Amino acid sequence: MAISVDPPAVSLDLSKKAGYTFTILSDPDAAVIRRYHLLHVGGGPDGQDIARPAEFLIDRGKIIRWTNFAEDVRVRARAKQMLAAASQLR
Amino acid sequence: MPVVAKRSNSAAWLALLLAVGALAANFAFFVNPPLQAALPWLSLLLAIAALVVLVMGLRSALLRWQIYRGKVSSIVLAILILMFAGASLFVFYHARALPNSTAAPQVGQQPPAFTLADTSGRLVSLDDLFTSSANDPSAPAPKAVLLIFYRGYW
Repeated sequence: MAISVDPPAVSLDLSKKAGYTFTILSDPDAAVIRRYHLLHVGGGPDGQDIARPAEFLIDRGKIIRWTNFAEDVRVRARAKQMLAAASQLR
Repeated sequence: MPVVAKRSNSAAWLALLLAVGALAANFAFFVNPPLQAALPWLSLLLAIAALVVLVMGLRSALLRWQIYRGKVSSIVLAILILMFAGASLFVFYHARALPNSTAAPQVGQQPPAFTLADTSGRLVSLDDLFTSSANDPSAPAPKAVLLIFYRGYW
């Protein structure tokens, strides 16, 4: 599932265009993004506060098992890496 | 005095090629690692190489113009190279200007709880994601949830 500051309508547009079937949640006030300490102040195209890219794999026991914090917005975790991390879980 | 054909200034053209390469490396990001992680550094390297070779080319064209051709062309090339290499360096800096993640939740910790609206406006909590599959309520509960924070869609 994914979280950004985009309103639901924008996320709906994205998931339709990209064919995504996973849950996309909206955090327009960046409250959850702040709670996760992932706020990128002024990082948006119009200088708005957005999330820095980050991925967390959370197991059923609500423990974080794998994380990825991009150092370059162009270099993201690939599906293969995330599936490999998931396959390590029981 | 015999007319000697001047040598061509190949350094300026090589610098242009390097600068174009530096720029091109910024548009090739849908490749897989480890190449993907190497591309920003390749772009940086090519941009710096372009600037170094450009200086060499300009020295030949402007200071040793008796030997080398391309006084005017090297200046035109220099402007192009400065634009391309400059853009590459600008992108390199900006793409990496991300806040650090040291305060973010780490492996072994519990993720902070949340409840947010999905694309249809329905409120979804982290717990909800563990109880059923997003698309198929009859499917078994997932063994893990991948939480992705992204910059947005623009």
